[in-house]
Amino acid sequence: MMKTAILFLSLTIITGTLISAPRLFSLPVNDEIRAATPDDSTAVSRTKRTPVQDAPGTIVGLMNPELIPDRAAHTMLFLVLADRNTSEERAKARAYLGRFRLDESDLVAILAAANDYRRRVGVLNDQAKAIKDKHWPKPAPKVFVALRELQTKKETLLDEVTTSLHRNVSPAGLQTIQKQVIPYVKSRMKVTPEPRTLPGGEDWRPSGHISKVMRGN
Amino acid sequence: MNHATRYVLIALLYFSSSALVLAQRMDYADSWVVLSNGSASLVGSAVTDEPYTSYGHEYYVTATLTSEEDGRTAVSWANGGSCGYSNIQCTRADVSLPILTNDELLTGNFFLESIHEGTCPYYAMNLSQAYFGIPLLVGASVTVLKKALSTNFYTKIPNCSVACPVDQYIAGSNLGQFIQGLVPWVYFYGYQCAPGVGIYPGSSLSTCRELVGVVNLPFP
Repeated sequence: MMKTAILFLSLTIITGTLISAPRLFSLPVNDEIRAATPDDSTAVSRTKRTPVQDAPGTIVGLMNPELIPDRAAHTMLFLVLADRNTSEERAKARAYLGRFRLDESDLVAILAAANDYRRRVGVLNDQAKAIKDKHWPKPAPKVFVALRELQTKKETLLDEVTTSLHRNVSPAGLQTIQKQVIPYVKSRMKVTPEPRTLPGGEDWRPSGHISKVMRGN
Repeated sequence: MNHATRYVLIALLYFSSSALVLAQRMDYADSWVVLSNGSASLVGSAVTDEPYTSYGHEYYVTATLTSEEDGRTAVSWANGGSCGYSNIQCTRADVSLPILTNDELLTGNFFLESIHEGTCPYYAMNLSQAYFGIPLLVGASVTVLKKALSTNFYTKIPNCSVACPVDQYIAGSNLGQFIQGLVPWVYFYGYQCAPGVGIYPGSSLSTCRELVGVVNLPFP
């Protein structure tokens, strides 16, 4: 019975992944970001230092930015800018956007949108946490229905904030966001598919590294 | 309902409409320069976010920024995730290293590394890591600007080609006939010019140039 279930599960997951990302399996898995310097004569040959392989199906935005969804890029943009409340942190957020030569009013609008998203998504995060706290580690199927509804709300919220932002910035600012900022964010992202197996399967490994990191704190 | 059947149903529900929602984990790492009041820092930020429908993970992000010129390193570790112990869905680790002080410009080769890890504590199992290893060349463009007669309005001298130029500068007072505008930049698949400019004294001998490495200030 268990083997049958696992086989069925694998088929289901493969089908689901193909639906969600049809090009996923044709992607090259590139875990090495090559050094790129302005002048080859002074280039320093540097590659990653830790041999960590990306999970199969990982989309590397530097190589395939067109495969990173706009929603994902907006989410990351907001999360990297939000909750920077000290003067030092605000300077970081402003410098992040300052690279794109945005007008002050557009810059302020993006920061406001990021904080708005972070504040409002926190409500949904709390609900998701409460659900998982109550039902984990053995959630009933209906729990995933509830979580999926929350996820849909989260994405609706993201769309609302993004739409509002696009209304609040100048035409030039909107163009900068769409043509420069979002493509840039995508180039700094990776999108990893959820594990194809349940804990204990091939996409998981016994923990040890995490606990090592935790001991360091 | 037995254990296996439960998870088959969960998987069916999880993936049945996966085309409609973001059912993928997202990781991000980036670095940029913050210039403020004549000093500057290279900052890095590494972020992970996951969908609510994940089986349930805690995420940990470790970001490390290293200067390959002088060995300075900044490390930051952050946790979060949605597997039960935290109400923080997003995990973000920030790091920072000074690159411009009153005395020195500390640019050159840097390396931003971030490791994004997920775990399910109930089963003591880890997910695959996401890794970013970003080699960065950090420097600064120096633009020489000349003062217009009887004003404090400075404009870039002719034949001045640098990565991050300063075309003009309006000073609050007379800073002399020549000044130099310094704009730090980060290069990784293209220049990212820091917003803002540091102003230093110049002379008729000053030239437009790029500064990379450790440079004592004020520069000639």
